[in-house]
Amino acid sequence: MTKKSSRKTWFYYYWNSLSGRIGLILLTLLLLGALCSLFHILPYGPLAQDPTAIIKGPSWHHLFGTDQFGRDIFSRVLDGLRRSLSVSVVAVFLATFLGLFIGVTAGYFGGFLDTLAVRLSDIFFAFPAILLALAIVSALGHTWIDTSFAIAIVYTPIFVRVTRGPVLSLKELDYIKATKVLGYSSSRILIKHILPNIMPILLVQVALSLSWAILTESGLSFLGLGTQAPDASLGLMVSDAQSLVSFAWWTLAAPSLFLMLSVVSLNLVGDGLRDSLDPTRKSI
Amino acid sequence: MIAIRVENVFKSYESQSKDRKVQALGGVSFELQGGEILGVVGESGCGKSTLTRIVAGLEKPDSGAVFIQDLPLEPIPLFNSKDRIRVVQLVFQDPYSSLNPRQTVFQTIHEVVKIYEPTLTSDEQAARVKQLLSQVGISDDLGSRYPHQFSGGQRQRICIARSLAANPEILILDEPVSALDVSVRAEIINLLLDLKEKLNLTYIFVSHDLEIVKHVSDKIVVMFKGEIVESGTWTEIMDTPKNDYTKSLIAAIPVMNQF
Amino acid sequence: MNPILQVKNLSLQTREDKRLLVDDVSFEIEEGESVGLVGESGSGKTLTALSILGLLPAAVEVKSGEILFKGESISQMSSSALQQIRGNRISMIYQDPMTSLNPMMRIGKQIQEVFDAHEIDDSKEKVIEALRSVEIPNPEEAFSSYPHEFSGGMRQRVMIAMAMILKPNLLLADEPTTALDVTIQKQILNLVKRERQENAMSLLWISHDLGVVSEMVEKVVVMYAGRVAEIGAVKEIFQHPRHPYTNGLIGSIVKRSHQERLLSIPGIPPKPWTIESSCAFADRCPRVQTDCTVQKPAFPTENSHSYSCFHPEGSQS
Repeated sequence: MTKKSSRKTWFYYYWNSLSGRIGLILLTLLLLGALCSLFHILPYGPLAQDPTAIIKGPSWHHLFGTDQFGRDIFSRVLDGLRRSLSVSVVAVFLATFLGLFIGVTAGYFGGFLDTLAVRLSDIFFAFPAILLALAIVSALGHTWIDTSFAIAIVYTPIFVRVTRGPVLSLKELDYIKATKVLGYSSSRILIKHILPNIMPILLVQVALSLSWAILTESGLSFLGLGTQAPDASLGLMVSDAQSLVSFAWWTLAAPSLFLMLSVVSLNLVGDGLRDSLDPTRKSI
Repeated sequence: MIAIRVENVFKSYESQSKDRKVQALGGVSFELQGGEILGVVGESGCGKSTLTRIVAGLEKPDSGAVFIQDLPLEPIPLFNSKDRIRVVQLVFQDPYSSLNPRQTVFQTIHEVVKIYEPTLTSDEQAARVKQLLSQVGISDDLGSRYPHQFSGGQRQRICIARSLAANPEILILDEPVSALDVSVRAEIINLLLDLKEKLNLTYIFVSHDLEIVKHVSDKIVVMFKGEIVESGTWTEIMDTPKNDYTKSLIAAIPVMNQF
Repeated sequence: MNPILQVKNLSLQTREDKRLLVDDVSFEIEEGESVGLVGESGSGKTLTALSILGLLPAAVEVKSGEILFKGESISQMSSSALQQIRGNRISMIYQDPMTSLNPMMRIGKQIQEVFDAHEIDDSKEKVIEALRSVEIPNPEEAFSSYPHEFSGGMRQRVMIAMAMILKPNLLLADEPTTALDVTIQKQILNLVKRERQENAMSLLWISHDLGVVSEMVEKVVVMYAGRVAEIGAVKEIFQHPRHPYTNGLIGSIVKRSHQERLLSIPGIPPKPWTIESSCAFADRCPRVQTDCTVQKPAFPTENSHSYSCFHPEGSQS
């Protein structure tokens, strides 16, 4: 099954979008950093304390300085980035699958199940994401899996909505009606005909959700409900930096910068994906 | 052999704006012999689209019955647990929305062949796809292209090939040329007539264009506001129309034969 | 006779990559004459009509040529000068009655706007009279109604009322009946014919439907792939088409005996910018010869029956 010609043009449009290009480059750099942490190729261990180098500013030895325990902030930031990304990826992965399944079946089959799905999503939407995540995490626990689950549950309704909408209009199109007249099974229609045609919109939403998930995870850690000390996490580092920032600006600057870069890069990737969907629209 | 028998079919829809039911079909009945072409003509709102959907099985009538070769028509279930064979196929009006934009032409037709002719080997299936495409005048090497790379007329041919891949007994053609340029219409109409002869098909040809319907059909039914107001052979309808609406339809055809 | 409209060697291209869309189109409309502009998709007929009123889409620009209205060049006119002419001396009606009227404004007010735009006294009575003349039942009620309360045919009548209210000299009609049922179409055609007669108005009727065109016009301009293929009196065109495209077009419509195969033109029209040095119809023409593929045949001038072909129907070879 070759889709070469269409995939080439898709990426061409993606690369044509300035936002998409910048976003992808930035994201790749960040991912490389996170990978370094995964394979333990960091300048220092993220937990390694050095009593001789407490609260030192940025230098060649410590790119982003050290914290009150002499821990290298750069290494901790990369480690925190890895954690944030892993939690977000798992969370969005779960939310996508669950939301997709519910959204597509609800939209396609309609009826009681659809009404139920919409009402439930509406209830979830009534709560700000962070509040909901807070509540769930308090109930579940603080491990990174719990955090992932909490975020997944919070973002599932978005995926339900984002997939259900297009399905509602798609199923009225003639080529879907044609598949019905040809006697195709519902699973065949959903998987081979409906799904591929909502994929682009879905991917954009995945990129955006990843950026929101990183923020949510950081928010939870900031509040002390996500990653626990002494593990590194961007949110936790921001929280710790509150008491240090007046004399050690780098303790706040570093995690904030990386947080911002992650969110911005994912949003730009989302823009690029949106541009590749509809080349006549231009973001930048 | 009676290919299609429609008995007293009624169908109404909820009207969103007016809070009451709108009757799309009010007691429609007709019969069609195998190998015949039935022309269904009428203007907007006459119910001909609803009729095509019901005979194709996309919708269930509120009351009345549809028989295909003396067997009751099974409407298409909302949840269809497995791929099933259907003997009535449908060609849609708009060639721009009747093909999956994410499948190549080959994939689209091949999917049908896989289901309807499962005993063929994969090589035989591929050959069958090529044969179906060439039958409608689409050459071999174009199979790996996507719908957007074809013209409206070509897309309509592909849709016809897709329907034929299901080896149907009956083909419903819902305004098959209305969305096409005038010079392309002739080709598609010729193609449909050729295929009908070659494969011994039965057609229901739906159109608002009486000229085309008159040219193509053996029998004609004229629809108005959900009912059949007149039916007969094409000569009866065109030469000796009895119903006033039929007469006004005929009178409304722009007169070109003054030249 | 005085031509009220002269299109002279009009060429249109895309603004961005300068692709030719309409190539050297010339024709005239005499005062009081009705002319049909016939062609299929991609023929350039709509763009040509839009350029008369300076209503080309942003992506298209005039490459060369000019348009004269009553002897005065309007293709170079400023926007504000053109405003005086639009709706006033030259009016246009469009294909889609669903989108040609402002859904948020009452019908009466929309028609009054035409008066306002040209600083003419906008009396309600005039509007109601206009609605009456296009045979809208209950014109007083219609005045205060919204477009969505009307059917397609009724909306088209409203559009005609709006277009005719200042008694223009020339009406451009871009496929106004294509989206309508055939019985409604007949009513609209009769209405336009009547308005034409009452106001001695010239008419440019754009359509792909030769049947409709044959009822409405005296002269036909056939366009193909951005060029004029043939011009002639409607009777001439139908009885003795000279350009093979025109011949094919008529042949594919005029019905032969029941279920007999129709004449068709295999292939699709080329894009105007790809046929710089050949006849536009060469790749589909049953009468094609070598010279057709290497040269552009001369475009019709304003004779009684002219065509752009090296080997027209009725000639040898």
